[in-house]
Amino acid sequence: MSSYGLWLSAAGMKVNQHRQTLLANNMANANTTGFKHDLAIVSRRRIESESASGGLSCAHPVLDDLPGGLSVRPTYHNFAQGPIESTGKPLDIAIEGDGFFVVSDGTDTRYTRDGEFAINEAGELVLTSGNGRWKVLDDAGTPIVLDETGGKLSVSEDGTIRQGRTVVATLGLMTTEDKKSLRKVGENLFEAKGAEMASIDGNFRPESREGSNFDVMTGLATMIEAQRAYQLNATMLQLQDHLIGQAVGTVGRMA
Amino acid sequence: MAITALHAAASGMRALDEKLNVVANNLANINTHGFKRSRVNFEDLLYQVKREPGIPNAADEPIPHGILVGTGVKVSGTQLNFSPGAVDTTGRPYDLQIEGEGFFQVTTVHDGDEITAYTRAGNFVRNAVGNMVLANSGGAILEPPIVIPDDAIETSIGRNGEIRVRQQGATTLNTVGQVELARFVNPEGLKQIGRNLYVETDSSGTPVTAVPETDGLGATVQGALEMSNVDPVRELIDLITTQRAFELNSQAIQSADESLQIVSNLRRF
Repeated sequence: MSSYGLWLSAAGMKVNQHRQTLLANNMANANTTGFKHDLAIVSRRRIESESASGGLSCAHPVLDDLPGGLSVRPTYHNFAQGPIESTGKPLDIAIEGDGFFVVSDGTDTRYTRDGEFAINEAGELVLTSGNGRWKVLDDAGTPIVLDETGGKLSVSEDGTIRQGRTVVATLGLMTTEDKKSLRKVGENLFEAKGAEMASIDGNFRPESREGSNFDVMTGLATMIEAQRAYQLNATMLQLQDHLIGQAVGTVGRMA
Repeated sequence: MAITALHAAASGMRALDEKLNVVANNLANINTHGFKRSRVNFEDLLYQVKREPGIPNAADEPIPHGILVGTGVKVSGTQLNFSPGAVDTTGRPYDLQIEGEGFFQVTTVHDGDEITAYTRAGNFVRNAVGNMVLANSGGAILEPPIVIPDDAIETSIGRNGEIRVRQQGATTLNTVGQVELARFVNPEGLKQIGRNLYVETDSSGTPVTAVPETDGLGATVQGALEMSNVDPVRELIDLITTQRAFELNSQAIQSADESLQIVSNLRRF
């Protein structure tokens, strides 16, 4: 009597629950500015003899015909461009194409696609998330400071910030080829874990915001699929439990 | 399993959502001078071939039908409609309307480069230097550049695009410039960059420039503007059909979901 199937069903449930959790997070962030959605990567788990020795030298005659189930792989962030919506607010900037705004709170440097900026009491350009402690850096790496007596703020498509006719600074834009090493750390920010970030010229869209790049329609269909797969695995689990119960309770009964 | 149905219905909702975006844009631009409406074209996706049509049966005759199941829909393209808009007579000396085919050529900055763009919007103004510029957010200069003298009291632009002014103290009109229009083999292949402007692409072909009323180009009418060619009745009908189709697709998703639910509840323990 093998309860190997029990563990395969349990793995199936665990994997589908993971997919649902990721999808739920994506759905919850369907309106978050600059959000990049997560992809749940799932792969076939290798059979015992393959994983144990790396080859088929100690093959088991029965187990080798059975598949190994599923396992979860590291999550990928999908960096596709989100839709750009015009908002008409002078402090809203969207990036079209590759690149991230560079922000710093004095100690750490982070990267973001969220271009909904605000001005703090010292006149510095800051992000609205994180209680305003993340200052937006210019292309030289220094925080951008606006003059409260200066003229009307305007940002051009190459990232130059002007107050009236005077140039204040140019928005910093950096990116890396190795997008896999950018991890989300909350507050709409990415941390570059071990990646080399380089400055690039960018295309900015002033008075616009970049919406979430998650497609709700596909997400809904996938969510239903994951939920039903979870339910089917649960049913299989119950069936196997029932069979074991029969084997123990009915067949193996003494007197 | 109903998984194909789920994803086909989701593709339907995605495509209709895109159509809704295009219709909404058309309606938003119902008063934009020189605006040309867009239409969304759909195409069906690849089919799963469960049985090829025409396979011979036991009597060696071909079976009349195969089994083909589709996988949904996608947007195949958006098409611009260049039918002329209605004419708005303004009486302003620098407002031009193109009666017939053709585009005004303007020089503007886009994505950091100076480029030639094309437009049907003819609401020009004279800038401080005397050039004629398009009154949009960017001040695109009319190409070929024309300078209208400071002391011009009256400007007359003929149907052939000839610009003549009457200067202070003169009794006759002098010619100071010539408007040239451009025509494309495939104007629907032009790329819209906003601000009432189009740019040339590989699919539009290279522009052929000439004086108005020659080479198939239209005439320039002074004191009038071409209005948007969006027809509100057609757009509203599109809105209604899109919304209802969207609802129908959501019904398909619900139905697929319920079938999956029935399957998973087949055996209870």
